[in-house]
Amino acid sequence: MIQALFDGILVGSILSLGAIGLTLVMHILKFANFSHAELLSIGAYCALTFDTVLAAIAPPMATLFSPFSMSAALALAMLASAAFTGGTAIIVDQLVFRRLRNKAGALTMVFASFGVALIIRNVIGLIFGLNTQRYSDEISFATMVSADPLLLIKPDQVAILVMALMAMVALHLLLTRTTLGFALRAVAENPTLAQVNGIPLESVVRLTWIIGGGLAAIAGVLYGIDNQLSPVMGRDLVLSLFAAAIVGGLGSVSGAMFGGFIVGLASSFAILLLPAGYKPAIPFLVILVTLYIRPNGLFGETR
Amino acid sequence: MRETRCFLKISGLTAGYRPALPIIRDIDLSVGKGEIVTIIGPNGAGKSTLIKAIAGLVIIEAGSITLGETSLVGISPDRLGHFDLAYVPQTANIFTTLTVQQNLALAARRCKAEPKRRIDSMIDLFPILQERAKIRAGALSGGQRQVLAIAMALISSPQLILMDEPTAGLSPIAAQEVLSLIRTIAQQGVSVLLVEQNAKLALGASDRAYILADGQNQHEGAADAILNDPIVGEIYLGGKRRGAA
Repeated sequence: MIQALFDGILVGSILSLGAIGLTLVMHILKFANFSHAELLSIGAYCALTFDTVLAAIAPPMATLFSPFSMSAALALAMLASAAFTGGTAIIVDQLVFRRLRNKAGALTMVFASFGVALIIRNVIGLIFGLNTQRYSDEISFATMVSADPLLLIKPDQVAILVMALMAMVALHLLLTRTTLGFALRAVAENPTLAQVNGIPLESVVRLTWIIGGGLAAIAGVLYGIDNQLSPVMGRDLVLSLFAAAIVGGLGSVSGAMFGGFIVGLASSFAILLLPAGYKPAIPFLVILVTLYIRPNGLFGETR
Repeated sequence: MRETRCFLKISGLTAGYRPALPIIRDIDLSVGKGEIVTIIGPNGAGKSTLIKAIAGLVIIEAGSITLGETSLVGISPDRLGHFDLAYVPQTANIFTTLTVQQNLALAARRCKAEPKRRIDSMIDLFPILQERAKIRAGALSGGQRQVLAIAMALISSPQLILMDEPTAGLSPIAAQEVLSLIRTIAQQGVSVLLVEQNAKLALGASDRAYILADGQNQHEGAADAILNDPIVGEIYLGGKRRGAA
């Protein structure tokens, strides 16, 4: 039971990071971006590339921080991949979404995002191959924290949780303590008023993609550390990310954060009760139950 | 009437929300330095469209808008501050999810220098904002919201403020307070262009007025003359012709 709780929190922290970016984009750009989960894949594979390059250039950086299976090279690669993924998200916006934003409806944008997701997924498969990959071939052994009830935790998992929470705290501080964060929230609430108060909309749109892409990249790397990298990891995570964003209430950053943990915990506990084959259905079930009780999600504003 | 050296000048303005579908046509209008000018007229007359055209929020098909020597045609709404211009929209004119202080901090981004000092000066000018600084702006009363919206406009020391129905939805007392605040602002040399539904109240506080109907200028003149003109009163202010039953 306590093992399921820990696993749920761990998965939830990764989902939260992905869902925060998704909900920000949905709130500010007013469309459901089904290619958002592919940003996790871009981030994960980008970090793999940077990690390999850094390890080749400066071999001491590839030394693992025992007991973790992570190195300074991977930590730097994660930051670089966050920046790269944010930049990629902006380029995709300029090439696809921006062209449609002022001419087409939200549904066209949604279908375009499906197309973007397919392209990204297949390009990653083309470049990196379809086989799964890992950041480190070192075996990370779990430590038995408690025998009864059984609780096994890998050092990497603690690091993942700490890094995910640090990213969330950083975003929270940005949104609540800086005028840049106020500007982002202002555009989400009332774009016209934000504009007449001197906020250039296109700059805020770019900032949204940088934050959303950056958080997605970090989520992708953390997912890759705990599991493995696969070109279809975005496809596997997309429903859980949407479930987290919807459960939290679209547009609510704190909602997406809690939503991620709820979906993670629900999936983790469901395995105790249901055959593993039902796991993909759990996010749907969580959406259904939440929307039945609270139609606007847990933190969503009443419309 | 105060000094009427022309500050804002609009000539032959035709504008609307979609290309080739003008809402206002061939409008002429001027506002002097430190003058309060009100645009009145029935619903759908194009009053808000006119003020939005000045703020760069609608498509201008023809005509000119000049502020001093500078043309405002084609300006981006996020650059109003560069032209010493501020716009207060009709209803959603504050960010309800931000605190009062955060609203002011955001508006102060338009200030060319010392945004912190400008925030402090607004708080000195409107003590109610100091009391409510930490609460979400969505929790303010209607009158307090207008005060915050006006403070957000004033924070960048504009030379001209465009206000879209600042008394809409306010109690008569709160509406009077807002109009008296507008008079105080104008006395400091700031020009004010108002759009108002509450014509009688607004005319009482204004120097001059324009009457718009069907997207066109119908009448213009000194505010007190319009207020006391029985024919204008009957047509546009809901009054009765003298001698009528």
